[in-house]
Amino acid sequence: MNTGYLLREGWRCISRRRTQFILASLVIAACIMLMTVFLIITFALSVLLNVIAKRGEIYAFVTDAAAADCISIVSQASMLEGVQEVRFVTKDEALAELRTDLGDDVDLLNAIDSNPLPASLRLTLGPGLSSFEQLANLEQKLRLLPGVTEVWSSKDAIMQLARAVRTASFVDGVVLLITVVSSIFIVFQAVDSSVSSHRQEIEIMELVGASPLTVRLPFILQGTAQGICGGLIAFLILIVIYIITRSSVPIPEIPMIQTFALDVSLGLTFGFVGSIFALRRRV
Amino acid sequence: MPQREKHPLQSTHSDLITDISPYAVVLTEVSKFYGDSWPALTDVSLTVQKGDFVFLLGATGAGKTTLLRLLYRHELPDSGEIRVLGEDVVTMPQKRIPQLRRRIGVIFQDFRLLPDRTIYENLEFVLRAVGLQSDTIAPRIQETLGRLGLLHKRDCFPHQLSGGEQQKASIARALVKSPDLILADEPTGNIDPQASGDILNILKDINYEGATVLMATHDAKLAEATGRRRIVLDAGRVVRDDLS
Repeated sequence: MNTGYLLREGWRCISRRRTQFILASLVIAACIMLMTVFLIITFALSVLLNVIAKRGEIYAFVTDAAAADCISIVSQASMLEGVQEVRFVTKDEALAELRTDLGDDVDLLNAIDSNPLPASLRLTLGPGLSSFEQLANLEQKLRLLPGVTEVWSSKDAIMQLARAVRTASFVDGVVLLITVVSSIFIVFQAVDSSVSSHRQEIEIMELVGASPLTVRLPFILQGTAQGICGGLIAFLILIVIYIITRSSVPIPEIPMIQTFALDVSLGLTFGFVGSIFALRRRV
Repeated sequence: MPQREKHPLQSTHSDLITDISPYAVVLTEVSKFYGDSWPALTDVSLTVQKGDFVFLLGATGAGKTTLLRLLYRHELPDSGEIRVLGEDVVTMPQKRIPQLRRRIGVIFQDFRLLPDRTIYENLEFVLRAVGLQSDTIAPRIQETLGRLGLLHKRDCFPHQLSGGEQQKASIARALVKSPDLILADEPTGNIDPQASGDILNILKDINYEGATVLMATHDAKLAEATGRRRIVLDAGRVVRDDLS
């Protein structure tokens, strides 16, 4: 069938049930927006987790005696699995760091006569250290090194964040399932009712020898257009919300092109699948 | 008999079928039941030669419409064989049905025109649906409407036409794709006698140009007046056939 004529037929399907088309598009938009928001949150948490994990350091505090033979303890720590780099921080360097960290409150240190801070090993973790079990294992091995008094890492914070990412991913899955089913159902209903109202046209088309594809195309076009409209509306609303939120809260930048592509392709897929389901049942 | 102009559609499908049979329609012991007990057709056997004009007579419920519906494969029989334009319509695969239907023009008593489209658009719809190229559509519609005297009504909607004109438009829709076989189901049932005469004359002209016409009607007088072959159905059985 000629493309121009096909588009006109598709538009005829849409315009005959304009209100339903708009309502269906809005529902699809709401579903896609919900899904996108959850995906963005999960994505942001994952990025944050990666950043923290990459910056993750382990502090191993050592006795003054061990600090005296720093080359030996650094060499032992370097040989542990998962350690990328070991830096030895002397008592004086630790105090200097503390002074910097205290900033305007540096006067507090004047009350102390001697340097109470211990020397320490700062271990940067390598990419080979992928699980928290390995991290815990490394901490355990560090504690067993002679002269190490205490070990500290950001393991707990990372674990909490990872748990949050896992929860968010699970919620994403549930939201995804609900929105996919809802969107497809909405398109299904809209196309199904459109098919009912075009029953006579369909009968005549079949009677005169139109191919099944020719009969179905205008309805597929309707469903797909509905989905794409939903995707576009979802994207626009999301951008408005993002701009408003960003003006008051410092939130990370969202990938515009990817979000646009995601929303529109989700809408297109929902529209296409929904209309195919409706047509399989009715035509 | 004048040679019918070959339609572009025909070259795409009818040439694929080697139809050397002299018959447009062959039914062999065809039976069709609705439900378990109501026989719509029982052991119906008949043939219609290519180029024939045949009346299918019978009272309401005699099985005329069922027979026509079997011919354009709207329904399948419970038993028997049916060949239409050389095709075995009972065993033919689903994907070949559109090709068969492109060679058949169906006319209904209730016209079945699309109410929200003009007469021109009703015809255009058919030609687009069967995949005709844009440049051939307008001349073909003009020619068909002109032939049926409907050119001046081309931009009217069905409700703006009289019953006779609507039936003419319905015939135009069947004719516009130059079918080999016309199946007319009570085409004069909803129109006045004057318009009925016009419709019959149009169908005779179409037949004269080479198309086979099978017209179902309960109007025995109309059929008798034409002197054409009549097949009479009663309770789903052929009770009379002028051929035999």
